[in-house]
Amino acid sequence: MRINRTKTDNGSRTWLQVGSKKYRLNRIIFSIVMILATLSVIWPGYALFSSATPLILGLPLSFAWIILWVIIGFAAMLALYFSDNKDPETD
Amino acid sequence: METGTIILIVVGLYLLISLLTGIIPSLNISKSVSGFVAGDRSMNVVILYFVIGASIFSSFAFLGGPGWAYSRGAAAFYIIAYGVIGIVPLYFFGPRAWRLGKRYGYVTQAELIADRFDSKFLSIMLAILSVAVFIPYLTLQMRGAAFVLNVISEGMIPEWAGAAVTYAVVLVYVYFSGVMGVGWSNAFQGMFMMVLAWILGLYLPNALYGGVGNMFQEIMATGHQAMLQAPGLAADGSTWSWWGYSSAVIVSAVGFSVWPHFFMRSFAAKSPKTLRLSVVLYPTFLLFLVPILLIGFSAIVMFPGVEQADSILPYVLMQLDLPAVVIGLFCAGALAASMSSGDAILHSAASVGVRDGISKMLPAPPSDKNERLMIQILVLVIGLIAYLFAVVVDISIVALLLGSYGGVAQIFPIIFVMFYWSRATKAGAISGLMGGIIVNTIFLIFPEWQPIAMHEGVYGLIANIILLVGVSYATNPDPKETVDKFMNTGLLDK
Repeated sequence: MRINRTKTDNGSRTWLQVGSKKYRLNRIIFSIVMILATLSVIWPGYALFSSATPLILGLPLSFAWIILWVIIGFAAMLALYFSDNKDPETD
Repeated sequence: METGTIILIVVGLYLLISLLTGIIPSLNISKSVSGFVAGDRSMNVVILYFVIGASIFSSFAFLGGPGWAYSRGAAAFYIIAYGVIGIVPLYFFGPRAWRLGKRYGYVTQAELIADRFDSKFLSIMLAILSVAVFIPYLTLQMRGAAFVLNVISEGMIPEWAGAAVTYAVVLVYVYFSGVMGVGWSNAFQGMFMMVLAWILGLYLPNALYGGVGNMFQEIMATGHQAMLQAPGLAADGSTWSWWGYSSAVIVSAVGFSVWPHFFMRSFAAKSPKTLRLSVVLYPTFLLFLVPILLIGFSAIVMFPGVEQADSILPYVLMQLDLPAVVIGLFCAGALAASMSSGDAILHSAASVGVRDGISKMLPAPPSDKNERLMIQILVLVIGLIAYLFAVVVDISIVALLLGSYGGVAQIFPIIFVMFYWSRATKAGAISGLMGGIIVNTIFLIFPEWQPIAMHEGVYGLIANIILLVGVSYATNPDPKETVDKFMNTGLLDK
């Protein structure tokens, strides 16, 4: 199934021109979340939550913070996967 | 029954099941190179999930992970931190590589790169880089297995015998079944490890301290609070710098998705959707590192002063009064960690070595049958070389392996531009990769030359990207037809 999409005049497309508007928007949101995740598990984001205390569910803050971002990263990928599956152009 | 006998029976049973799960799939796979290397592109989500997941659960995770938590505290969180970012590129690269593989018959990473940049040289160079990195990696896995068996059996099983028995099993199923053997045995080994990791990771803090929270409180109360403060301690026991920690995370994350044995599993997937789902589920595997680290933390207060941090897991097990069956199970768990990475590495080293190296150097391309046979022979040869390094030659290879992360990360920029930047050229790709590896190696050997002390891979990546972009613009664009073949792979109908 083909749907309308932006094309450059010579027929080749950059990645920003591929797919439906929703497809591109999802990728932009996903990219922002992953950049945030990256900055959160290294300096500077991690530096703000690097302390051993308080204990969260028994784990030091520095540990719980990393686990939190694993969960956020997982959720973001899951959301992207389901939105991609709804797009008739991807498989 | 005697403790030693029970342990041996449990370990023996585990090895037998590994062997069977590894051999049986050979019955269903075609006797071709594609069957051996990419499993006829037939892996389902379950198998692929464990293949991808098990690659991080190596000996390093099972022995090194607790070792880091024990000796370096919060620094160990680094292993979890880079995984969650590092897996993401595979979500985007994987389906593109899969479609190209399906259409043009690619089964390795270097084949993609060599075709895009029309360069036999790149192919051979990547083959040499891969084999050079994989042999020490495999050696470490063997040493890990041998070490655990030796300690748990209280010296009853010498290291040469431990490594020989475990890796004989691996050799047999990799030789006969190729990647599907790796896949099925990893599914069994992966489930086994996960269950054991959680049981032990929760049992130890409870048994020793009455809970995970109590354990950390105790660690802080006994004057180890600085250790739990991120980014933890460096290898020498001083505080790890943010530059050092952050650059290590970045380099490991960049390199993660392009490790040749990891990347080439894209070709084994049944469909792009299968591949994507396995990648998406990967963080659930990552969470199994949490109990693994708890094991290391549980030893800080109770068992201080263990010199060899990597031995902390078997050490703790031996100190506790556990039933023999339980010790045997954990012993098998550690073997599973070693074998599930070792088999994948062995399989990839041989596949890449033949397909991208030896075959490319021959005057005429070998027939499919001969190529498959050559790969199988190289499986045996590489297994033997790694074994010799593991038990005979006494050199430190840990540093070599850690250094290789920076080298492997240099592959990432070429993969990225292959799919996303049409202006990249052959000259740009070669100079970027070469420059990156050279700069990385120089700063690895002479760390004092670094303007800011951080992971040498960062410097390699900077040189790599500058050369890749600069030289590409200075040379004529590559043929449009070739470029488009690789660029237009993002969607279903292309």
